[in-house]
Amino acid sequence: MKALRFSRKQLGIPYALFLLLFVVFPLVLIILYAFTKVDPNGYINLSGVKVSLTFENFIEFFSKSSNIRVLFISFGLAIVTTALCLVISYPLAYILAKSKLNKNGVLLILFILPMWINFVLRTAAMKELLFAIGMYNSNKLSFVNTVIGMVYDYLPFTILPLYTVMIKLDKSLVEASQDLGAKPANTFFRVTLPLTVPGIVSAVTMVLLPTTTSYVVSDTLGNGNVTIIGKVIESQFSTVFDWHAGSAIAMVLLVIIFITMWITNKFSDDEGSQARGNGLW
Amino acid sequence: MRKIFSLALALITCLSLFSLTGCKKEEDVLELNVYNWEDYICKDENADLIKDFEEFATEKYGKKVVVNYSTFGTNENMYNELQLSKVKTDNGYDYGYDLVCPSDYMIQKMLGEGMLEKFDRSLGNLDNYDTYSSKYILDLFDNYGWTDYACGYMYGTMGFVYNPEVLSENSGGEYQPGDEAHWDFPWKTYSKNLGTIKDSIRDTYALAIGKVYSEELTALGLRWKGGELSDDEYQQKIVEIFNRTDEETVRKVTEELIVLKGNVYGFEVDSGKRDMASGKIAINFAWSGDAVYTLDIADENDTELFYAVPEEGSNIWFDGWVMPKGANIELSQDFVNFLADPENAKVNMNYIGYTPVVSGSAMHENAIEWYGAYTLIETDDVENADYIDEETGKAYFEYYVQDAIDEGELVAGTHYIDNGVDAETGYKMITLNEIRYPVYDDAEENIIGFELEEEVDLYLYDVSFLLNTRTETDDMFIWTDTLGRQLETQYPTRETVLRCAIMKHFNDEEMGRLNDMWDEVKVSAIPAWLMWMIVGIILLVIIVAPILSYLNKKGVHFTFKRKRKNLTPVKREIIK
Repeated sequence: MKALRFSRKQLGIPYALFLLLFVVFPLVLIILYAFTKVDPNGYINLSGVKVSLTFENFIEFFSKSSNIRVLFISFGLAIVTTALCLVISYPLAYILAKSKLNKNGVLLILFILPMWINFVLRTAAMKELLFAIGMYNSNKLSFVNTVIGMVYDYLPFTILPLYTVMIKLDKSLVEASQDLGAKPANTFFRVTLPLTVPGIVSAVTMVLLPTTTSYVVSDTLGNGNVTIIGKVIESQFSTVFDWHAGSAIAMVLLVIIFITMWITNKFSDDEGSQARGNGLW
Repeated sequence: MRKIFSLALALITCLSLFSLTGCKKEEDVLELNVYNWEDYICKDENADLIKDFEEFATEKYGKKVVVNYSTFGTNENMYNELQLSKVKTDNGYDYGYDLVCPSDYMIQKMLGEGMLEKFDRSLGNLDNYDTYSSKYILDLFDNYGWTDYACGYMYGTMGFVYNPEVLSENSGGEYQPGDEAHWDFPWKTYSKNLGTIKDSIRDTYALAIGKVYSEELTALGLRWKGGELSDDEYQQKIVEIFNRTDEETVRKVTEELIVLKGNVYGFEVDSGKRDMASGKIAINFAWSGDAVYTLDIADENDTELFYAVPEEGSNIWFDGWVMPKGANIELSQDFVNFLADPENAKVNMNYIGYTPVVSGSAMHENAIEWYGAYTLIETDDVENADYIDEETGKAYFEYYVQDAIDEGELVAGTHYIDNGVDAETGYKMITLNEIRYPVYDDAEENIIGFELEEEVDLYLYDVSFLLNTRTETDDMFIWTDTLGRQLETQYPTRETVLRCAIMKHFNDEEMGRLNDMWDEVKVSAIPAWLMWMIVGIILLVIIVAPILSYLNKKGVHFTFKRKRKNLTPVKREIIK
């Protein structure tokens, strides 16, 4: 009997199916819901409910000042969290990658280990911890507490990509810059930083989007005082039961995320070409 | 060849498994799909009402009965799930569930949309429910026209759980006992960062209504107490006020809630119970069932908490069983009837902490056992003793004041001082001040007595309003030594119940207004500096960065130019 052989294309079929079923199809549904509205005289039949095409969901979203504020709060929170994550994890990843000790694996596990514990549980534990140190006795600190919780939960997602980039960093480039008389700061800004930009970009994309939507953290640590866009979408779906408006908000979020991704990718493309050597000097 | 053989074998095994399960399905099994709130039925190792019901029904029908029990977290989730699971049939829709337990307003909504099946009393299997249910609830259902479509399950009020000790400590004497029974309680300056409110639109709306219309409500209450308004008139007015959703009201509510948001510690749905017990907060706007639970866990930590329903009036709610279209009516009614059996209701009440609609003398006795004042009498009968002191090893009977009075062992005026009626609370009071003296000697001169450590005020608490059924209308009292705690939370007095209103289902337009109000309140105003900072960052990224990178490509470098010049002389020196 002949051994089974698969071509590359055939091996890709399971993933393509998965993509179609769980990514493309839901996305199409979201778009469909976002641009429609329940209308008894509608001409489209969406699972037994008559709907008609409309932009109203978007107009409604942008005409409410509280929604604009939610966008600001969400992205403010996301930017602060991402920045803090980078500030903390960059040196850490650098040390991890450069340490001569053969303890890289152990050190890495130390930071990845928290990910093995349930997300909700970790957040609840953080609440008790914040209470113990007295950060939890005023509603003024809700935002700060939420940021702390978010940074805590998403730190591993920034350490990993930075670490993988830094471990591949060519040491000779740094040495060359030092040989040529560059000061340490100069070496860092002109050699190490540009070379690690791909890591930073993937870290940003891994943190920025989830922080705008993970309302478990903001609900638990912010005492319900911090409302983010994820919570608004959730309430549209489960409390208000307006799937059309909820999908529209999800679409808005999607578009904003695409824009930020496009910009960050542009960054990494430009700097990436520099990293390969052209235009660096 | 081997591979094919093993594959074929696996296939055969699979097929046979399928056919086996297929066989099982064909066997006559009755299924009951129950959809209930989380943690809303007694289901643990010691007592499992669902299993008990399955046994009971299997015996009744002579074939296997299986309960498929699933739970939901909010009324809205339940409604969504029903909408998603509906299947079109010849006579309307079939919703895939036989028995669902929504709250009052959701029952109203579902009834209005024609989603419900009628209960069929001609089948004769709702007798427990009709006999043992509280007269108050049955009358209420009759008045609203729900009797044919819903059977009550649990009910309760909304009010404040509070910790007077922490409050008086933190307020510098500003907190006065009695403040907790008014809607402005969480708005008070001394409550700052000490209170939580519910993260749910309807409940928080009721809270704000109470504050906005507190004057009107107080005036109404006075007219009612003065006899100017009848019970019914008063009820109608209260219901009208708590269901106001006109724009003016919503605007006022928004203003009040924004102020409140700055004063409270936060919004919660579930964490408030633990936060209260652990002392993180001192005021919690809560449902009475949760309040009982909170009081219980706080007692275990030696913290004494209390519960108060605002005097201006409040919200009374209930959850009831309804049958969506297409339900198995007879089996569903069996289930409802089974839960209405007082024995099962007691087990359920003990587990959940909410007040069941089941009332009558059995529940009255149960309440006495839980909340009645009693004393411990030493006994030699260790096996039947109620309580054994682990330190001394002595065994005791619990001897209830109630029993002593019922049996004529305690007679007014002879063994205790009759204090008459308390002017403030209206309760009958006695003081047992013969400390460590026997109260009664029986014929054989055995001493049965109340050994009380200190002088105790005993209150004769009237529970007849809620515990009377249509057949049992005797006065029902409980002698108790504590007020404002579990007993009063679970069984509010007639006066408290009458000042509570049921909130109706709001239509789409009203709900839209409330949702807008809620977003306005929940989403905080952003400080200007933060707004500008974010705008700045976005502008920087969108405009400046592409320009820079464009110029970079064209050979114009802005970055590090100065440093680069510094590099050159060093290079030259090396060359030299």
